Amino acid sequence: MHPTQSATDHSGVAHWLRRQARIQRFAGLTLAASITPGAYDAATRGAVAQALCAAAWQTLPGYFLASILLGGVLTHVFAVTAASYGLSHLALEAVVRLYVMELLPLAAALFVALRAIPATLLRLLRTLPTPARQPTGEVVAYFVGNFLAVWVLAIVSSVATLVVAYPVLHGATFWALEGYARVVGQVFSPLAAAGLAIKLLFFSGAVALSPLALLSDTAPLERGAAEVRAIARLLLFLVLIEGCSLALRIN
Amino acid sequence: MSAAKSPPLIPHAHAKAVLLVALTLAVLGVFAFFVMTARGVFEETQSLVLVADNSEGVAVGMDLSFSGFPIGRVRRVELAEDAKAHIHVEIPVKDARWLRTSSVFTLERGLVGGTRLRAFSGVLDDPPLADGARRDVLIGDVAERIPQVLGSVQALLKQLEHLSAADGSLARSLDNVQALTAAMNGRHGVLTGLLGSEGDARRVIEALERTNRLLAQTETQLYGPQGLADEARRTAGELRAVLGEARTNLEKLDRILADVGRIASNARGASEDLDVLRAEVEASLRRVSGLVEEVNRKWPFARERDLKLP
Repeated sequence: MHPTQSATDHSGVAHWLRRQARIQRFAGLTLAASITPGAYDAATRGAVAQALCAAAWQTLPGYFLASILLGGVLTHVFAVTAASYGLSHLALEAVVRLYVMELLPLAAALFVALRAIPATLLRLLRTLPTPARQPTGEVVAYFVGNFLAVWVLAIVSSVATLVVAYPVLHGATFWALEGYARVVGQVFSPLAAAGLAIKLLFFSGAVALSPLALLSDTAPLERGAAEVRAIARLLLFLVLIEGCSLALRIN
Repeated sequence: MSAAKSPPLIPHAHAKAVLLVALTLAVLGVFAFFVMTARGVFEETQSLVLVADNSEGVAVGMDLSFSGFPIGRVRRVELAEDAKAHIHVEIPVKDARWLRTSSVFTLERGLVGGTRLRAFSGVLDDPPLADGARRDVLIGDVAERIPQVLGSVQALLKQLEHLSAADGSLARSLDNVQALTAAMNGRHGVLTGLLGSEGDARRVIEALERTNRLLAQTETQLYGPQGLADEARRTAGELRAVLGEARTNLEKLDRILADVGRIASNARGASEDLDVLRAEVEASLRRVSGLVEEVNRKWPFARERDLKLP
C-alpha cells in the first residue's frame, strides 16, 4: 500500500469517527435538553406545539383512515384464512401480534418521518448555523414534537384498529366481547406491552433525532442531500431496532 | 443552503397539540384499563395447581376452559420437586363455581393448534373445589399415537411387500389364475381348467358320450316295441284277470262256507265236495302267488332278494 494512500485512509476513518462522535454528542445534548424542564420556555412550547401539529395533527386523519381500512382488510383475510383451516380462535391473535404490535408502530414512524424530516430540515438548516454546537430551543421543540407525533399516530391507530377488528370478526353483537377481551388481554401481557413501549420509544427517538443529528455536521449540506441522509440513517436505525426486537423476542 | 420558505405556522397549534396529547393519553388509559380488566387484574381469584407428567405445550397465559368457555388462566408453570410439572391456574371466583371436588382436568395436544387445558364437572352437586386445590391432569396427546400408527403401517407394508414379492403368495395365486385361464382357453374349455389336464377332460367327455348311448339303449328297451314297459302293461292286465278270477272263487268259497254252516250236521256226506273245492281254491291261490312273483320279477317292481349282511 502506498504510504500516502494509507495516510489518507487513516485520515478518512478518523474523520468519520470524529463526525459520528460529534453527531452522538449533539443527539445526547438534545435528549438531555428535552428532559430538562427549564428548556421549555414559551417560545419552545409554541415550537413544540407547531412541530407536533405539523407531524401529527395534519397527518392523523389520513393515517387513521388508512390504518383502520388496512386493519379491517387484514382482519377479514386472517379470519377467513384461519376459519378455512379450523383455527378461527387464532385470527384475532394473529392480527394483534402482526398488525397492531409490529406493523402499525413501524408505519407510524415512517409516516411521521416522511413528513417531519423535510419540514424539520427546511426550518432548521435555514435558521441554525452549521455546524450546530448546542441544541437550541427550536431543535428541542422539533425533537419533542416529532417524538410525540410517532406515539400519537401509533397509539390512536392501533387502538382504532383493535376496535374495528371486533365487528369484522364477530359482527354487530356484544356477545363475543368477553372472548375478544380475553384474547387481547392475553396478547398484551406485561412483557409484550413493555416490549412494544420500548420499541416505540426507540422508533420515535430515531425519527426525531435522524434529521437533527445532521445539524452538527461540519460540511454545509444541501437540503435534498440532507433529507436523503436523514432518511437513510433513519431506515438503518429502524432495521436495527426491529432486528434487536426480533432477536430479543420481547413481543 | 436552501432558499425555500419556512412552512406556515399552524393556527391554534397549542390547543391542537394539547388535544392530541390528551386524546392519546385518554386512548392509552382506556386501553390499558381494558387490557387489565381482560387479564383479570381487578378480579378476585382462587388458585388451582394441576399436576402433569409433561407440561409440553403449556404456556403462561393459556386458558383453562370449561364447556368451551375460558374460566381460568395459567399463571405459572414449574418443575416441582416430585419431578412433575405443576401448572398454577388462576380462576376468578365467579367462574370457580363450575369446578367441583369431582372435576376432571385434561391436557390435550392436537396435531393442529395449541395445547388445551379443559375441565369437566360431571356432578355439579358435589362440594366446590377449594382454593389452592391440587389435581392430577389427564393427558391426551394425538402425537403420541403417531408411533403406534407408524408401527401398524410398517407392519402392513411388510405384509404387502411379502404378498407382492416375486415368490409371494399373491404372485403364485396370479400364476395359478393365469394357468387356469390358459387352460380354459384350450381345446376342452372350462372342463380342462376344472379337471387340470386335457386327458381327464377327454375321458369325462367320453364317459358322457357312453352315458348318452346307454340311455338311448335303455329307452329303446323300456319304451320300444317289445319293451319292458309293454310287457309290464300286459302282465298287469293278466294280473287284473287273475285277481278277478280269484275274487270269483273266493265269493264262491264264501257261499259254500255259508252252506257248510247249514249242512254242518251232516257234513260227512258232503265232504267230498269240500275236498274238491279246497283243491280249486288252493290252485287259484297258487296261481295268484305265482303271478305276483312274476310281477315282482319284472322291472320296475323287481326287488333285491339277496340278503346282505353288514
